[in-house]
Amino acid sequence: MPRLAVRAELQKLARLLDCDPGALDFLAGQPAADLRQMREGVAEAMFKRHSSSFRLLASLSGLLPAAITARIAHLALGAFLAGRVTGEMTPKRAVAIARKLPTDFLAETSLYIEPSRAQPVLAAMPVDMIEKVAVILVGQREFITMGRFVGAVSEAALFRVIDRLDDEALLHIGFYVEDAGRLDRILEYLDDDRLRGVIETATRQSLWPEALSLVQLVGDDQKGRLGDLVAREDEAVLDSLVHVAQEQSLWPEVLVAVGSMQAENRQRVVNLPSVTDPSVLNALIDAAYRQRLWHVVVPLLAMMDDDARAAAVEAGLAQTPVVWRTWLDATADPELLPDAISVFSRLPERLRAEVARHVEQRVNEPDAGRLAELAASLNLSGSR
Amino acid sequence: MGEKLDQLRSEIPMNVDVQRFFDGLDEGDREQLADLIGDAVARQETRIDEAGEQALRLVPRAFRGPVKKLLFGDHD
Repeated sequence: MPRLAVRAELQKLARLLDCDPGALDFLAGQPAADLRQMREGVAEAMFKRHSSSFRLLASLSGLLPAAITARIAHLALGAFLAGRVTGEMTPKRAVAIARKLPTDFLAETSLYIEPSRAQPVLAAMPVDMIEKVAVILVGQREFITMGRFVGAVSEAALFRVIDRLDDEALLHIGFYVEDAGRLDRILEYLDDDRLRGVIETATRQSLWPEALSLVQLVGDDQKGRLGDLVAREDEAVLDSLVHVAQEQSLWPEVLVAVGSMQAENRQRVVNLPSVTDPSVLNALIDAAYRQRLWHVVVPLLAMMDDDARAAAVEAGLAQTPVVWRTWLDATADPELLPDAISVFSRLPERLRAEVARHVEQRVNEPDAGRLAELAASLNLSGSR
Repeated sequence: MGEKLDQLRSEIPMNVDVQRFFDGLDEGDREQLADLIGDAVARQETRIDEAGEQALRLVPRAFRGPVKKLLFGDHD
């Protein structure tokens, strides 16, 4: 299953191309950032085919009173063309016309507005109008459109809409937000009680992927805050997160969230019975390898109880040699070395001896770096 | 390069990012994506034509031809 950011991008691309998201499965292996650049480039190119017509229509609209232009837009142009022309108007003119249009037509028109082109117009729209349109869009489950507008409307309008939305809608919309800075502002605006409600909704409505996608985008402060709020939930909530992570291969996203928690919360999470299940530990190690997350995973392993830590190392040793070697090499990083020593030196004798054998082999190779220190901690002299 | 991608290039300008994305795909995926984008471009043309025809009903019949040419005649 593709990473969350890729899933969101493919759904947005499907919207642009007016096709079923499943028709884009062949792009699931592409990086989200590349997909986004491609989508934006295609959207721009499609727009440019008719941009002179859109500009001309926008200019002509300025020759008539706003009420008449609104009537023409509603009855003759239709939502599609009106949406395309919106970005070419001056904000003042666009607001004057929008005031004369029915809210449901504005909502339909918003589906065809390109937020990147129409940002000044959207930012100038009155808060009440944005709120009314947002209510209609949520009713129609137009979460992609709303997510794309988050970065374009005014902050006052954004916060008003957030106050009107339920937690489920917030999660769905957050999944498609493109402006990470705005997402930080939204989280700053939401108090802990509201965020706890969002977390409970994620659990109840199986919306953990949506919640985790938020964690990936926001800055470290809000990442840590979200992570800590999750960690303080009941074990049943955390178990549901583990279950979803396992079922949908979301360990990289969960690891980022756990890694940003306070130490006591990290310790609680990594020692949950559901986390120390061998199949989960296997998935954790696999995620660390595939997504280069050893800098997150190794400190977490050091926080595990003895049995869980031993099970995790056992899971690592059972993986392919390249996984195990990558793990060992990552521990040569000076920042990870103390945690790695803590993990390996406290293993039961049998496992410690097996790890020592691997370390000894590796430490004798020319590019072993600081693994000699790990070898020394395991009472290996190394022969370099 | 494939036929569908060549055709798409003739229909819409591709910036460096789009071009690079296509270059990174294998032949089959390239053609598949070009096909999907080409279909979307065609659908957009239909919608704009329909919206244009609808809008032109407001214009007296004698002037519709020139107004249509003025508004929608040439693509960028």
